[in-house]
Amino acid sequence: MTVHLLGIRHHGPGSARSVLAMLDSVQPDAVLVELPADVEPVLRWIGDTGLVPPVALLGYVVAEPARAAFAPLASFSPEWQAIAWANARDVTVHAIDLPLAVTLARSREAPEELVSEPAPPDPIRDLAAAAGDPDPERWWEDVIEHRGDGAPAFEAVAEAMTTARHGFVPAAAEVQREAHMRRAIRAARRAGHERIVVICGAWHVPALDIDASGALAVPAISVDAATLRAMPKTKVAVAWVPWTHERLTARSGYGAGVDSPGWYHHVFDHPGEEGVVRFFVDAARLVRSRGGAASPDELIAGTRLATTLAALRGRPRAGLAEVLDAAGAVTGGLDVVRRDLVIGQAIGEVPDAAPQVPLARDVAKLQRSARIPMSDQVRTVEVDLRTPIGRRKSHLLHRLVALGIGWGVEVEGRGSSGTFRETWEVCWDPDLSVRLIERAGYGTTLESAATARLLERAGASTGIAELVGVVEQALLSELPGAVEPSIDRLARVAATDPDVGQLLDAMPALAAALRYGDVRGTDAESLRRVVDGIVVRILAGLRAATRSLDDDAAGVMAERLSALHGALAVLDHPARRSALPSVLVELVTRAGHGLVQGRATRLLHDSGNWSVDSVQRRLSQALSGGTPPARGAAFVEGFLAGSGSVLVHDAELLAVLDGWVSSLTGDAFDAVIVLLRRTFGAFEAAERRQLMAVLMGLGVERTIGFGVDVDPTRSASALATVRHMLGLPAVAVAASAVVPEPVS
Amino acid sequence: MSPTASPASSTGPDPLGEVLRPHAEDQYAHELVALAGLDDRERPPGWKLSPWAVVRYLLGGELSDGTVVTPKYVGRQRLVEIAVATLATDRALLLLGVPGTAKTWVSEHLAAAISGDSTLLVQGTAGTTEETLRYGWNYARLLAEGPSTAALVPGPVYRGMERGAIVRVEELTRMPAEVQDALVTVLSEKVLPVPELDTEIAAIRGFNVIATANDRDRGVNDLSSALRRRFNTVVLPLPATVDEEIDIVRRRVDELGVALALPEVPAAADEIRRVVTVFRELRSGLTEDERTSLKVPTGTLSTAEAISVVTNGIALAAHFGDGRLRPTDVAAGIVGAVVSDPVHDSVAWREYLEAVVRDRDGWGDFYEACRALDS
Ligand SMILES: Nc1ncnc2c1ncn2[C@@H]1O[C@H](COP(=O)(O)OP(=O)(O)OP(=O)(O)O)[C@@H](O)[C@H]1O
Ligand SMILES: [Mg+2]
Repeated sequence: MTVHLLGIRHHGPGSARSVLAMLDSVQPDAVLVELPADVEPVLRWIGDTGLVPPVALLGYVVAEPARAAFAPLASFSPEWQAIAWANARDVTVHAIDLPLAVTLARSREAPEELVSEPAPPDPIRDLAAAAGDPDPERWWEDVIEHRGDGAPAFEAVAEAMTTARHGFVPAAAEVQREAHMRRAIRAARRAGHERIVVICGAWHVPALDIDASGALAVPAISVDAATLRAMPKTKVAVAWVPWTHERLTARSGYGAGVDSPGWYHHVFDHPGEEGVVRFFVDAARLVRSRGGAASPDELIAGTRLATTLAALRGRPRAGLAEVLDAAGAVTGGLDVVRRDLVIGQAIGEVPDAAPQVPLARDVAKLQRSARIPMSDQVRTVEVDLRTPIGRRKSHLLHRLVALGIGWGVEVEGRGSSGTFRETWEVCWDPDLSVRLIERAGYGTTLESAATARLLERAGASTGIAELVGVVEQALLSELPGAVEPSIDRLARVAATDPDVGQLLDAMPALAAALRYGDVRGTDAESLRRVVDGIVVRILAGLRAATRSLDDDAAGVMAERLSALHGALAVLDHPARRSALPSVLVELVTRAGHGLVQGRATRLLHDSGNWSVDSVQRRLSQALSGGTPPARGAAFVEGFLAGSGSVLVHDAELLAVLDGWVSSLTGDAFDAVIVLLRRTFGAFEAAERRQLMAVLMGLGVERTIGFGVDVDPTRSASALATVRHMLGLPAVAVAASAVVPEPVS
Repeated sequence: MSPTASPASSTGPDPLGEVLRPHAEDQYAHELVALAGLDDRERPPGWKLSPWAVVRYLLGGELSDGTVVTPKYVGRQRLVEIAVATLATDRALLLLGVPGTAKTWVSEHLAAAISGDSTLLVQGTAGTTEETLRYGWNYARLLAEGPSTAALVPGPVYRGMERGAIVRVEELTRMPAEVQDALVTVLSEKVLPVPELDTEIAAIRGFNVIATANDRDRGVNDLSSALRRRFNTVVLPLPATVDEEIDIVRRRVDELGVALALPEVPAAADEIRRVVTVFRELRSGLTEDERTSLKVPTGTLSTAEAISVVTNGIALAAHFGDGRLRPTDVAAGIVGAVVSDPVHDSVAWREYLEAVVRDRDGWGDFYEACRALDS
C-alpha cells in the first residue's frame, strides 16, 4: 500500500511528462488530483474526443451563477494528462481538494468577483533564490521541467519543498484544504487501493505525506476531522467551458497564469533537443506566411545561437528566453512569433453532451445552427435578413448583445443603409463564456434570458433615449416578449416627460426601430401609436422649446429640427405634410434665434411647402437693414445647413446673399465675417469653387460637384433606379434632362 | 600568449603610459590576464577567452582571485550574452542603436577580449573602397616587381582572416553598397580571393566581423538583405533608468579623468545627475515626473555627450574654478549640446529652462548659470 506524492507545477509541461513516466512505472489503481471534490463526476469527460483542451472546469452557485470559480486545463497540464491516463485504463480518479460548495459559500462577501486561489507564498521563488537564480520560472524550468524523468524529479521536489516549508504556518483556508486532501488520501487507502498516486501542487507535498513521522508528521486524523467539521456549504453545479491559450496567461483559478502557453504546448509535444529546431521551423513558417523572409540559413543560425546562449548561461537546455533572444537577433518579426507561437491561438471545445450551463448549451446550439464558427480571430459576417439562415445569425447576435454579450459588433457594412442587410464583426473571447455564465440566471435559453434582461432594463430606465434603445434592441432581436412591455413603458415615460428636446432626440432611433419592425414583419402597431403620440407632443411643444435659446442651444435645436424632418420622412408620417410645416412657418415668422429660423426656412424650402419666392423673400428679410447683421449671419448658417449646393442651384438665392454681403458697412462686415467664414468654410472645396465661379459670372459646369463629364448612359441607369425607388414610372430619360438647367 | 603581447597592437604596449588613449587590450591587460588565468571553460577555436569570460570582462565583477574587473558595458546582461554567443557561433555581429549607445565601445572591448586585439578596424564612410577593406598595393613595388605577395598591402579584413581575429567595421551603413557587397563574399565564403596573384586567403578560425551601424542613419545606405542575413543583430538601447545612466557617466568620467590626468574634483555627483536628467528629459520630451511635455531638440543628447559635458566641466573646475564641480561648469556644455540647431533648439531650450528648470528645487544656481550665458 504505497502512496506516491507527485509535486507538480500546475501547467508545467515537464511536470506533465514526469507524471506520465511515473504513472507508467507505478501502474496505480487510484489517481488522486488536487481539484475540488465536487468536480469529480465530470472528470470522466477527459479523454473524450469531443473535449478539446484548453478547457476549464467551472463551478457556480446554482442560485447565483455569477458566483463561480474556474480551473483551466491545457493539454500540457499534469492534471489533464494524469486523468486522461487513468480514464483510458479505467483507473479510479478522485478529486481531493476542498469542494467548491464550501469555498464558494465562503466567498459570499465578494459576489461579483470570480473566486481565485488565495495567492500562496511563492515557494519556487524562495527555492530559486536559495539556488542563486533570480528568475524562479527559469530555475524551475531547468531543475524540473527540462528533466521530465519521473521519480528523481519528484523526489527532488519533495525534498526541496520540505525545506521550503520548514517553519511555515499555513493560513486557515489552506489548513482546511490540506486536511481535506489528507482525509481523501486516507479514504482511498481504506478503500483498498494498493498503489495510489497523488498529483498536487509541489507546495502541498510535505503536508500530504500521511506516513511521515517525527518532525515531519502531519496532523492526525482526529485533528483533520475537527478542522473539517461543520463548514457552511452552498449548492454548486459544475460544467465544462471552452478556454483559450490567451486566457491561460491570466491568473485565475487553479495555478498561476502561465506566460507562454504556446511554448509549453510545444515543449510538451516536442521534448528534447529537437524541440528548439522545431520551434524555429514553426517560427520561420509563420514569418513567411505573413510575407516576411526567413531562410533555412537563419533557422540554423537561430538554433545554434539559442544552444550557445544556453551553454553560456549555464542552462541544461535552451529555454524560451534563449529561443526568443536568438529569434530576435536572427530574424526579427518577434511580435507574431510571440502572439502565435509563444502564447498561441488555441481555443478549446466542449462536446454537446458534457455538463454545461443550460444557457451556454443553448447558445452553443444556436451558434452551430447559425453557422458562425467560434473563433478568437476577428471575422466579418454578412447577414441577409431575407434568408432564414441570415435571420438566425441576426437573431443570435442581437440577442447576445441584448444579454450584454458582445460576441458580434454591428458595423457599417456595404449594405448597412439597406435595411435587409447587416454586417457584423465577430470575435469570441473566453471572457464571453464567463459572461454567459454570469447571465445564466436570466434564463435557460437565449431567448428567455435576453427577454428577461431587456425587461429588467426597461423597468429600470427612466430616460426616453434609454427606453428607445431597449425597444430598438427588442425589435432587432425579435423578442416579442420584450417588445410590448418596453413599448408600454416608453409610452408612459414619453407621456410624462416634459422635455421636448429628449423626445426630439429619440425620433431618429424610433423611426429606425419602426422601420426594422417593418422589414422583419413584426407587428409594431403599438410602437406606431407611441410614435404618433410623441410626434403630437413634439409639435405642440416646439414653439415653447425654441424660445430664447443661446447660440449653442440654437445650434442643437437646428439639428434636431432637421432630424425630426428626416425621421418623419423615413416614416412617411402624415404630420410631415401639414402639421410640421405650419409649426415651422410659425417659427420662421415669430421672433427667434437666427439659426433656428434659417433652418426652419430651409426645411420649408426642401419639403416644397414654400415656393422659391417665399424663401427668397424670407431670406432677404433676414438679410436686410432691419435685422442686425449677426442675426442675419446666423440665419444664413442655419439655412445653408453645412452645404452650399442650394446656392449653386438657385441663382436668385445666391444673388440675395451676394447683395446682402455687398451692402454691409465695413464695421458690420467685420462683425459677421467670423460667422460667415464658419458657414462657408464647412462647405466642400468643390462647392466653394463652383460658388466662386457663379459669382464671377463664369459659365459653370452644370453638374453639382460630381465632375465635368457625365456619361449619359451610365447616369441613365442610376436615374432609372432612383425612379424605381420613388415609385415613379420608368421613362427613357433624354441625356439633356439629366443635367440641371444652366444657372443664370 | 598574453593578450598584451598581441603583435596586432599597432602601438604595442605602452610601458611609459604616454599614449593618450590606449587600446582596450592594453589598458585592461591585467584584467584580461587574470580572466585568462582563471578561465577553465572551453574556448572556441581562435578565442583568447571562453564566451563566459568575455561576458564577465564586459559586465565586470570580482574574480575568485580578488581581481576586480571593471564593468565596460552597463546594461542588460542578456544583450551582452547574445552578442558573445553570436560570435561564438561564427555568425557576424551587427550592433545597432542610436548615437552614443556604446556600439563602438562594446565592439572594441569584444574584439580585445576575444582576439586580444581591437585594432583591425575599417571606418565606414562614403569614401570607403574595397581596397581599404581587403588589400591594396605598394605601387612602387608593383611596378618594379609585378604582382607579388610582397607588393600587396593587406587591409584589416585580409589581416583578420590571416590571423584568425575579430575585424571591426564601424558605421557599416555609411559604406557604399558595392563595398558592403564585398563583405558578403567574405562572410559567406570565409575566403578572400586575390585574383592578381591567382590565389586566395582562407580565413583562420577565430576570424569574425563586428559591425556597428547607427539607427538614425538608416536609409543612408540601407543594408542589403543579403548582408543583413549574414549578421545577427543586437540593438543597444538607451540606458533604461536615470540611475543607470548616471552610473555610466560617473564611471566613464572617472576613467577619462585618470586618462587625461585631470586633478580630482569632488562632489561631482549632483552635477552628473543634473546633466543626465536634463539630457534624458529633453531626449524623451517628457519630464521625469511625467507631468510636463517638452519640445525635443534635434541633437542626440546621448550618454556619450553627457560624459563629455561632465569631463569638460571637471577640466574647467580644476583649472579655472575652485576645484569643485559647480553648475556654472556644466551649464555652457549643456547648452552647447542641446542647442545644435540655433532656431528650433534654442526655443526648446528656452521653454525647458523657464518651464522646468526655474522652479525645480535646488536648481536655482543652475538656472542662474544658464541665464548668465544669454547675456
Ligand atoms: N550602456 C553603456 N555602458 C557603458 N558605457 C556607455 C554606455 N552607453 C554609452 N557609454 C559610453 O558612451 C561613450 C560613447 O560610446 P560609443 O562611441 O561607443 O557610441 P556609439 O554607439 O558608437 O555612437 P555613434 O553611433 O555616435 O558611433 C563611450 O565612452 C561609452 O563608454
Ligand atoms: Mg560609434
